[in-house]
Amino acid sequence: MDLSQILFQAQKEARELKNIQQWEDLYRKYLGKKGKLSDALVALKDLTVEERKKQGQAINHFKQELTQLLAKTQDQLRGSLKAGQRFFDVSSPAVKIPQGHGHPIMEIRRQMEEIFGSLGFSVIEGQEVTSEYYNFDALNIPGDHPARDAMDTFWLGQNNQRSESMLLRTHTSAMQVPYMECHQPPFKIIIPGMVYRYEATDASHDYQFYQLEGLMIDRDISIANFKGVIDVVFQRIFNRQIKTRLRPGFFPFTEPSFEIDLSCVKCQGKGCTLCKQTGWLEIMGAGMVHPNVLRSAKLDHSGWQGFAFGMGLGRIAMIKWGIDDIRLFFSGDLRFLKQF
Amino acid sequence: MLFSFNWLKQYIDLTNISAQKVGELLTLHSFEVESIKKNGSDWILDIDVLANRGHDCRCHLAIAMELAAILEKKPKQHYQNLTSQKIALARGKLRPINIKVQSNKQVPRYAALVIENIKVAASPKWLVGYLEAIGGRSINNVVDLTNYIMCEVGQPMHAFDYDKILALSPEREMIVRLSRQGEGVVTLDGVERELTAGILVIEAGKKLIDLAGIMGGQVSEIGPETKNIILQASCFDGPTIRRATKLLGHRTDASDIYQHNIDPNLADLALGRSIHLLKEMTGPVRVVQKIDFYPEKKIAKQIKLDLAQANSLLGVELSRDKIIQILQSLDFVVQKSNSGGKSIVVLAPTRRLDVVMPEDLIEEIGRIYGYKKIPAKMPYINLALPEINQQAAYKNQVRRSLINWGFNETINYVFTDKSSSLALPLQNPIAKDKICLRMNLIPGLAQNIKNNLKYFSAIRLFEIGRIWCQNLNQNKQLIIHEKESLAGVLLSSDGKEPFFLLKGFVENLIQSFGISDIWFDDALAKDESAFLENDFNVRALAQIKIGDRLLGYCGELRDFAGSIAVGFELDLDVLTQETISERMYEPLAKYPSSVRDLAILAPPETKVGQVLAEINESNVLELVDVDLFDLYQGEELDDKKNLAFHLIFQSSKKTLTDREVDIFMAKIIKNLQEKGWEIRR
Repeated sequence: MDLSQILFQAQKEARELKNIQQWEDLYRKYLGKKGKLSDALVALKDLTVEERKKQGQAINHFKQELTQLLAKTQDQLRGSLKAGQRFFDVSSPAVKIPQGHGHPIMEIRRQMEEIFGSLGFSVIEGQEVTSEYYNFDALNIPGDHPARDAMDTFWLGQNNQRSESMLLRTHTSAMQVPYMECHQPPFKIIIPGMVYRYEATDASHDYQFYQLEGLMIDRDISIANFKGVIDVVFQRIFNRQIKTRLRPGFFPFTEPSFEIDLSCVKCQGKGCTLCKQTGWLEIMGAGMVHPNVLRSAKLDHSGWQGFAFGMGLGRIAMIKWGIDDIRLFFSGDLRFLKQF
Repeated sequence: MLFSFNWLKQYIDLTNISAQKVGELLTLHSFEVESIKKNGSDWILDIDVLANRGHDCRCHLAIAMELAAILEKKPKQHYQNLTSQKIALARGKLRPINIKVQSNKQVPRYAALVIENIKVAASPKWLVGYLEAIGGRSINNVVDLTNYIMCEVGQPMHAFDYDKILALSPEREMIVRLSRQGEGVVTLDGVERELTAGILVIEAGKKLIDLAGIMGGQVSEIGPETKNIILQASCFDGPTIRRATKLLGHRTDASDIYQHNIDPNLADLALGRSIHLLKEMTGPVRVVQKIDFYPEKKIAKQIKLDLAQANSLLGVELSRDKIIQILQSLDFVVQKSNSGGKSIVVLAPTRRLDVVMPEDLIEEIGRIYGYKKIPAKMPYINLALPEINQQAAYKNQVRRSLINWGFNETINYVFTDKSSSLALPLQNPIAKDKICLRMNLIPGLAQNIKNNLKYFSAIRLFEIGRIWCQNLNQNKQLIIHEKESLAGVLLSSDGKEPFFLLKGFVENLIQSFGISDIWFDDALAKDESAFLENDFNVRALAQIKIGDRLLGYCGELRDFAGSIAVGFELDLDVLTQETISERMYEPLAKYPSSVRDLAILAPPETKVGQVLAEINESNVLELVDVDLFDLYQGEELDDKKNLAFHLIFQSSKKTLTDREVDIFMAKIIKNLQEKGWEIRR
């Protein structure tokens, strides 16, 4: 190929340059150590003296043209990249970098895992579809127990074709006995996960919600210990001094049982719309593990004792961020999700 | 449940204690008081009696007893005082009623009094006042009395007109039994009810006169003409009543109490109290017959309580005396024990059906003492590391990466309208479009995109959640499979092919788990991707594989006219299993690399993956990387594809010479030419 054709090719390629990287490639291709120019120079040795002289001039011209071309295109490229002498406006908008957001419930879950984890609690996840036995019977809730009414259940169909009736767990407590069946105390665990209840939805009820269960079994675990643990947990979650109070409650799988209230995070207990003027927010149910539950798990109930609790993480997120409708959590609405 | 503050004051001295204070004390020690409202000179407390005390605390006397224990006061009037009313039997003209209890199991006790010559009239003002204060309605003195007793001592009662029963059954026979399918009764509220089998009823002369424990029948109703009555205070089986209210779709204040089971001994108190009040209202009362079917008398339960256990569970140091004082204040009888003071034996009153074991007593001690007074104390335990939950840790890793890449985490409902033989159906779906459990996450996310299109043109979403399917095992039993799935979707409006953007995210994500041998294969195998056709354009759908193992899918979503949405779904269990968490350092290269470019012209249907595979299979160990940097297809190439690659060669032993690289290139080129691809020079 003669040099003018190569130059023509180079000019064509130079017009198509888009960035400095491509310019460098072009430079290497023509002026580099193994570029077209050096090819041409190497080829000189095979020529006669006459031809060499003539070709030498052509090569010089070729080199000049190429060097100018590349210098010019480099400047053009640089000029479009670098501000140079031109006016530079730092107030121009930034390049939009897509920013993702975690789900608020998962954010609470993560914080809970972190806080309980640093207290030595293991994170356990169980099955959301479980048996009637683990969800009810093993937790001291036999078939005719009124407590079953309070936990209206989604039953799976075709139960006649299974060895036992299956359902969507109505509470994370359904994981207590399966866990205890294959672990020896002492242990302390949290069980985060989705639970399901067959009920009408409104701003504070949904048929699917996220719970976090806690279970701590050892030789000498008391209500005083339960208070100690939850106090630090809620102080961390809400990042302020929080008062908790226990009042009597009833759960078939704990004895004694209690409900836990938090001093209202909005009004600090003075009374506001969030706490319905009571100064307190209901936050979870808890109690000391019922001997029958330990019996279900074949644990010696006279040797071990401890506490269990269950809270709705949606409820905590609602309190923490002032969310007024529980149904937003599972709406997939980006206007909501992008706020967290 | 509504309670009158003034009514409570009948039994306990509450001077200088406000209704608000009483509300607070009850909330902290017994039951939550949901509201306190003024009602003339009275206050009405709405008390949420706990389910395990539904059998004894849905009455004023019991709440007063709770307050007495909390305030450490003696009640004004005690159960004993109330029951001291002896019922004297008089000779009368009425012939006796014959009670036949056909279902012993459902009727632990049937007690009633036959009373002659009663004067049915309007109730006295005080009685009307109390009933109306708690939302009741006055009917006549006899009916009001039964309601008053129920709200006072917690024993539901019912009054029958003796003569109306006599008219139905000249033998004066009342049969208590379970209903048969199709029987009917008109209840006091005038409603004609058709019964299913298994509801407890009372029959007289082949006619039903009562839905036992729920509501009386109109046929034996007390009216102005009534002269003689049968006053019933019975004990019916709780679960039976509860089932009946469900079958009937009808509950009453009486059934609300009965469904919790009640103490059969309560009948004595209720009947004694009734006669006492009747006398006050109407003058002398002639009781001519006492009916009492009570085959097995309930006696107080003995529970041994280890005091150290009580303090250990509560986390306090209560003295023996304090514990005994609390229990006695709740009417428990504490017996002497010869254990050297380490334990006590406690007799629970029979009305405390909920107290059966030491922990029940410990709850009583704890709540009356006050949970508030129990100090918060961190446990003293041995230090132990939490168990490693790899799956949870990996999920958090996925979450972090995707959020950093601009994906928003969403959580969807698990119900779907799509059913198939593999999907788990619900027995009681909450809506017609929520009949099964989801088998994958993509449809939910696709719907999320559609819902968000109104407000956003660039959307990135992901979800980590459970999916289910089922199949039959060898024994023809349905086995449920529950898996953790990860899915992400992306919709962009910048006109670029989003599939490859998503593919990049998927590759990065999987590589972040130390997995390198991932590849994307055409998803054609209909059998395994059958249900994917609902969600993806099969034209642009890939299987994501690690070696031979299927990890998931990645492709263009269906039904997005106008814009292109893409999505992926991975089996998190597979990802977790394939993860390589151990990593070793590789020494940095000592010798420089050489880069050569290679362009090939191939038929349009040639896949980049094929060419790459061939280049890599040319058996050149020094070829350390291959990058596609140009892909062009045009008319001037006869519709062929021009693929241009950077080939990077490097040796760990020396600097490669041009000549050596030439040989490698030749080897690669030869291999490619053998495949029929043209090398452009």
